[in-house]
Amino acid sequence: MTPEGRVAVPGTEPAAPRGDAIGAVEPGIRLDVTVLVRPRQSLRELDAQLNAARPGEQPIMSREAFAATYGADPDDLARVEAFAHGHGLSVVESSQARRSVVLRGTAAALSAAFGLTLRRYRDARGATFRAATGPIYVPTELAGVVQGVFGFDDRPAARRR
Amino acid sequence: MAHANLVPVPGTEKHPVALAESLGDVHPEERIEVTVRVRARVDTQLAARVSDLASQPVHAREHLSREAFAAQFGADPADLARVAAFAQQHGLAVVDSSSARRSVVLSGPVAAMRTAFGVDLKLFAHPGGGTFRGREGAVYVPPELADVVVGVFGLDDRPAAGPHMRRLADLDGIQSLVAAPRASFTPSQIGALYGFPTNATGQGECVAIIELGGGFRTSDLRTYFQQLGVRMPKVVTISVDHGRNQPTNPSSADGEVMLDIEVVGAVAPGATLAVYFAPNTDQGFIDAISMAVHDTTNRPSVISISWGSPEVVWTQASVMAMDQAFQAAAAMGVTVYCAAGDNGANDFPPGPGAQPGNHADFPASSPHVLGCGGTNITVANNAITREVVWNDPGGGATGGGLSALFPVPAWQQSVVQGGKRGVPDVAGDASPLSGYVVRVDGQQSVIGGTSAVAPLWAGLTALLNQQLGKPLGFAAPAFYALPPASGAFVDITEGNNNGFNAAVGWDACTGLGRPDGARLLAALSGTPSHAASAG
Repeated sequence: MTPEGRVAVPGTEPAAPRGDAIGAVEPGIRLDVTVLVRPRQSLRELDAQLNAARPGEQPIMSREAFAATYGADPDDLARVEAFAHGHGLSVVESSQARRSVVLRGTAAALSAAFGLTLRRYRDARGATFRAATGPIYVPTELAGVVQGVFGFDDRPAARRR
Repeated sequence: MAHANLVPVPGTEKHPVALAESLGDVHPEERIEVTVRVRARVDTQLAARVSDLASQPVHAREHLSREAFAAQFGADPADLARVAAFAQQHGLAVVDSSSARRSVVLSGPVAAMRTAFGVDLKLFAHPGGGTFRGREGAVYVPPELADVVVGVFGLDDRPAAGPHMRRLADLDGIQSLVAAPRASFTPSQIGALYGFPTNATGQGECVAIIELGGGFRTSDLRTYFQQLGVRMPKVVTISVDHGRNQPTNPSSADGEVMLDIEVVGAVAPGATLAVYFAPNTDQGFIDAISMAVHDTTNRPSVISISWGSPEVVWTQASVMAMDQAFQAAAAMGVTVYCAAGDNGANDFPPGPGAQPGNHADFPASSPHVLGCGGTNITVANNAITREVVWNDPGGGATGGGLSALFPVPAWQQSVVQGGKRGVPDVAGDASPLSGYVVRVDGQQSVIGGTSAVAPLWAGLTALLNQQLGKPLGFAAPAFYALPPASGAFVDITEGNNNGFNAAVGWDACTGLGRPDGARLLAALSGTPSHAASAG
């Protein structure tokens, strides 16, 4: 059920299977989450260019040029920061190049801000971790701006090969 | 150990860990937790149902909700109750009980577990460092539970059950493997065997290495490179999301970190190595990659990633975030190498949580990176006499397969059938039986795994970038366009990864093949150049 005035960020449904819920997350613990913001220009053209280039003739952009072209729009970053301040969250860092804003707050404040519930789980191997019970919700004015929020789920993401 | 009135649970046999040293019995009062896996309520109907589903077009399929699945195919509550009763009889507590996951988690002292399951639990020193609790032979249950219990996990907690990086000493003691011929090589020797350019050092290049755990000790690196007779490379560390360079002991992720640094460093001693430490979460992984890609201080032109997970465990948002970061790398002339996995065509390590079937690894399956598969080499008189797909029964096999997430990219279409992105793209030596000599936490060790192939290729690319005078960048289209006659890749045509077979040309075990460094450089030099260097 979507909270009023909110939309779910596509693709943020937690991956399953997950495990058995074993309890709530302490509301006062402080967490950092990374908010990924849309690029200021669509990346679809970029992929077309990368794939169409003749091998060895691929145009290369400097990091600065890439950031200016495909980084986040400063207005979008400002929107996310304003949203954060309005929900009692602090902005740890904000990167135009990486299109990300790191927000810090209590589990309670972060949960309220992003319309989700955090729980503790135990997986099939007996390890415990924290995750959201559903997708990330953002206010409609941030729909499309926010592409993901990472950090609610702290289960080990990868194994070394 | 007395097994009177008990019967073995099939498929639970454990063998001794090669070279492990016995340290005596486990303390009888130590509390441990085990997961008892229980039979499905109705096995045969599930197989038929899935088979029906598979034969229907996707849009017409009606999937079971998790609740419905648990109700129909989960464990019978009566079976769970039987296990609970058995536990109570033996003084074991039921911590968790799940019909959907068909498992009961029991907690109790080792003494009670020994009696309940008819096992001897002993303490061992692992040859790679650290201690573990081990048993030999099967797990036993009373006859009335013989059909109910299909597995018991957690009595034995040897490290080989987990990580994908393969230390030679980690190999499970399947007798044929213990007796298998083995050899080990320094990364420099592998480079020489693969014809890497000898007049390049990677000077002026920066190689980024992503680490989600572990750490390195500078003293170990100094000793290692000194012994190798190679100039010690410059190593800088970057902390992402409070990640730290935290070395501990040889059986930890330190092995991964040291392997990565030592392989890149030995191959390209003139390059600067930028090691990004992040927590092992999707947030940490995404942020570390992003940091490396957009790093305007270190400006790496190559990124090496030896961490991954089966595609199905990631959220779509995480996949998109990482793939877009790789796409950005491609646009900025940064080449990314990802290890393809060490468990063969099914990237899940065996054990609780594993899903059946073929599963490719991500991020190796991203179309904006080069997936790195593994081989096993036989060497005589300083030359490779045989090279096959890495597949050591019980000892790991190269990942590889067809992506469930990404369609086949244009530049792969001529060689990959099935409409899906094929993994891997390139390959290199990976078997621990022909593994890499490294130094980890004060000890010399032999390590394999596709973990070694990503840094091997990353180091080679630093050499190529130096010699080409411009970054290789988004390499896949270039690699797949090279004519076989160029000899840039040595095709691997023998072996399989328990799902796919090696073949002439591209295959889902070793991709285009392993490199001939000098020929690869020559072939790439022949392509038209353009002015720009990696930002």
